Amino acid sequence: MYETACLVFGNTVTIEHNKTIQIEVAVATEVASFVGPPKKEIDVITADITDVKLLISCKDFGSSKADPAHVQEWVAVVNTMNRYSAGTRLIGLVISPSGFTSGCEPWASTHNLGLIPPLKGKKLSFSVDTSLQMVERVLRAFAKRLNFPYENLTQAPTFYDFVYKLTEPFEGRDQNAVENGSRYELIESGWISSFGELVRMLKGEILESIATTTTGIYVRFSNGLAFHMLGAQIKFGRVREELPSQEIVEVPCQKNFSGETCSMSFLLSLVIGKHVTSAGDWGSRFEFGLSDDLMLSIEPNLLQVYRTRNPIDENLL
Amino acid sequence: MSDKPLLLNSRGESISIDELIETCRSSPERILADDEIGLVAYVGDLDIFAVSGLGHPIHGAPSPLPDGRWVQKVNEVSIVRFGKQIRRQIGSVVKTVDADSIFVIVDGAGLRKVKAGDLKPGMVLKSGEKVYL
Repeated sequence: MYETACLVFGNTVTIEHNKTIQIEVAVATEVASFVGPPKKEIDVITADITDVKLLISCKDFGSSKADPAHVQEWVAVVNTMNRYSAGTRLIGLVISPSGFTSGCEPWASTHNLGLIPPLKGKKLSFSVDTSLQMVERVLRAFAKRLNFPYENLTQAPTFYDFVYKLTEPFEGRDQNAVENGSRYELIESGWISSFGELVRMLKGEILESIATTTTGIYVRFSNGLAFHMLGAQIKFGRVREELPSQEIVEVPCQKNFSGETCSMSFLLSLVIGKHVTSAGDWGSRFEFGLSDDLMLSIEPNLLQVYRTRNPIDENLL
Repeated sequence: MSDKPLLLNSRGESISIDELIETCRSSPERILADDEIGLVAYVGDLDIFAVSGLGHPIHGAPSPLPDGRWVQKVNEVSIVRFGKQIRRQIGSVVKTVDADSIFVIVDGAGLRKVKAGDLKPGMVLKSGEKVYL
């Protein structure tokens, strides 16, 4: 957590072990309840942001989830600190990589506490690394958000929703990584991607060129977009260079569904200038539907084109 | 892909979320996050409203009243790169929502929470909106 905070806020971050948290205006006694043994060790990480302080409670329960009592205790701490603050506004965040039980949500949303990882109404578990990535994303966004009026962040459940919106898409990313591994990757950023994103980006674009090289098959589309099949991996996105610098090689080309041999120039004469209307990933081969009429199939060492009209025998190439 | 809520400006005119995000990109301070997870942009000061699903009681048109009944002020808009999303018609509006978004429905004399993926035609939300498909 400390290293994550340093990544975002730099040298302004400090850490103190067993720090006593003090209220700013001590004119009355107040009780904040904690679960567990009466003596609690608290490490406090501090960063100068604005007149807003983010109070973060970090829980490490191994495989068991944090329960409502753990959220309630932080509600008590944040409320107490806010009640006796001299102008500083405090917002609470609870981090428990093993997750939260469902009863935590009403407490967190009612009292405007952010929860990491998010509580999504189903059994979810995230790795500690993913939880730390969530923390980093929330801290970076929070720091930027404070450049705008932020009074409403202190009103429930705005901060709870803010954290939820920033963290809930991690589930989709992790699920995609499990399902697809690193098969899809964006060229410019190197981020892992998905079949859905590829279709959204390339659908409607016009196929401009195909180059086959020693490293893979490079397909160029309109608007500076490209599709690269490099063995089992597919990279796509915007590219700057016109052609790959690797040595150009010939790969077998086939026409029709039965796989008759044809020349590369024949294949190119059919597909160049056509726009993408659909796509399909069959594991070892990737297919682009072109102009609702042709199918261009790409394998690491094979190109194939066939017409998709029925009856097949009357629509051979 | 943006999550495609139906957005209105303060004059009640429909605006495109994709155009809104492109506008936000020209003001980098508005981009709260832009990474492999997706993009989140702050629009809380631009008077952007999302249609809540409740139309005008008589003619069904959305109304940008700031009381939150027919429209809801939007603080952030986002593009989710890996979201699992589904389409549901709730009230007069067809929405694209995360499959695990939580809705509160009327269940007999009480209320019950269900995920968007479990919404069934005929269910009635706490707000009075009916689920059609």
